[in-house]
Amino acid sequence: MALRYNDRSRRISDDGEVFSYALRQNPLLTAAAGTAIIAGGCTTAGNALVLSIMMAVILPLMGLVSAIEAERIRYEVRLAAYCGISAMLVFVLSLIIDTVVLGSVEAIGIFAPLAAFSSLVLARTADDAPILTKREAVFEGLACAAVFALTAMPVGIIREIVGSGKLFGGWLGFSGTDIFTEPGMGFILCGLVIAIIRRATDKPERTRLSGSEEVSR
Amino acid sequence: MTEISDILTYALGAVFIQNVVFSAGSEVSLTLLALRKPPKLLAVSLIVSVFSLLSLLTMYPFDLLAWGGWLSYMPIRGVLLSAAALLWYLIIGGIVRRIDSLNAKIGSFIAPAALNSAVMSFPLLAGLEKIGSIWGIFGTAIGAGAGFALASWLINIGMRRANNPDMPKFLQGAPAMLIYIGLLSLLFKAFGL
Repeated sequence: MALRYNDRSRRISDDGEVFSYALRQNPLLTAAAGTAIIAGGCTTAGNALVLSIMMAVILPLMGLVSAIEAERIRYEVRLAAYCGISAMLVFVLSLIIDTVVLGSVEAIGIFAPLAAFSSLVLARTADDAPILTKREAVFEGLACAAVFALTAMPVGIIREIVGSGKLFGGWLGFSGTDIFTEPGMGFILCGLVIAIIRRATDKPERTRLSGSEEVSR
Repeated sequence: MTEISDILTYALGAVFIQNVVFSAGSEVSLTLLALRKPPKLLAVSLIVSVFSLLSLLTMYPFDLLAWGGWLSYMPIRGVLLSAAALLWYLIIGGIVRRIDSLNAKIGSFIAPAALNSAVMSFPLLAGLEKIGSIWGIFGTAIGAGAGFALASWLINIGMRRANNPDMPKFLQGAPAMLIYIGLLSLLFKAFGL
């Protein structure tokens, strides 16, 4: 059955490599989507872990929803519908996680409910969102969640160690500096981590010289 | 006169001290989206103000009645606020779509400007700080839009330089913008000290 997408949509890949593509080209790395949640909410390693777990569930499910509805929902209410679905998912997940580890979601504060309206969670509503099958949408969501965790965990760990001298709540023997718990430092650390990820995942450009040798830049 | 004082106090607080883009880290992505067409920034900021006001007013009676009890549990607060925001969007969006001239101007922006974490942040933050005065709510909403516009203008200045070809490729774009936004956030933090 053909997916009905608008004329700005495109296929990511016809060779099945959606996961590896999405690891390098996803809204978090290219457009900083979701970094607000990391900068504001990931002040400790525990918070980063909880948010990463939430994203690992929400992103594939939202991708699956978008592949199933395939823009059948009217444009005027599509974003509202997605927000409603993501808000319910976040609510249910928050209750489950907060029950398993008491207070873990409360510790994130306002950024747990705000995750439902994050541009990373709602990225599939963009006009140029790629056309995906259901299986591809789940893999793309998992890849985005992996990149989110890859960004959030170092940020949370560094901020907790340097900001309070603790790691996962355990005191390491020294006091930290409060400025690392501010969102400003969160944004700076996000930027640096994303730059490192980009550097590590960028494929080198290969140029052919006049002879037979190839050189990668 | 105390009403005007309340409005101005909370508006100033929302613009500088509680600027959700910088001090709470909300909705940088909407800012970057709005700045693709800078002339639309005023419209987006106004919509942010209107929906912030509606969300704040909706949560205000709940805060008065039940704060400290079940309503202070953040997941419940979040789902109530989400329902209120969606309802207001459907009402206001429906009205805008029926007016052709208004729809042509702001129709494409109303959804992302109404349903975003910046608009959601204010009622969640207001509950935590317990804005006691209704005039304070008006001031906070005015400040929300003005603060969003101020933050967006500052970010726009940085965006023009974020793709400088002299920077290493892996730093261009989003990483450079995030570092710049982080430095601005720390500057705004100074206003709160």
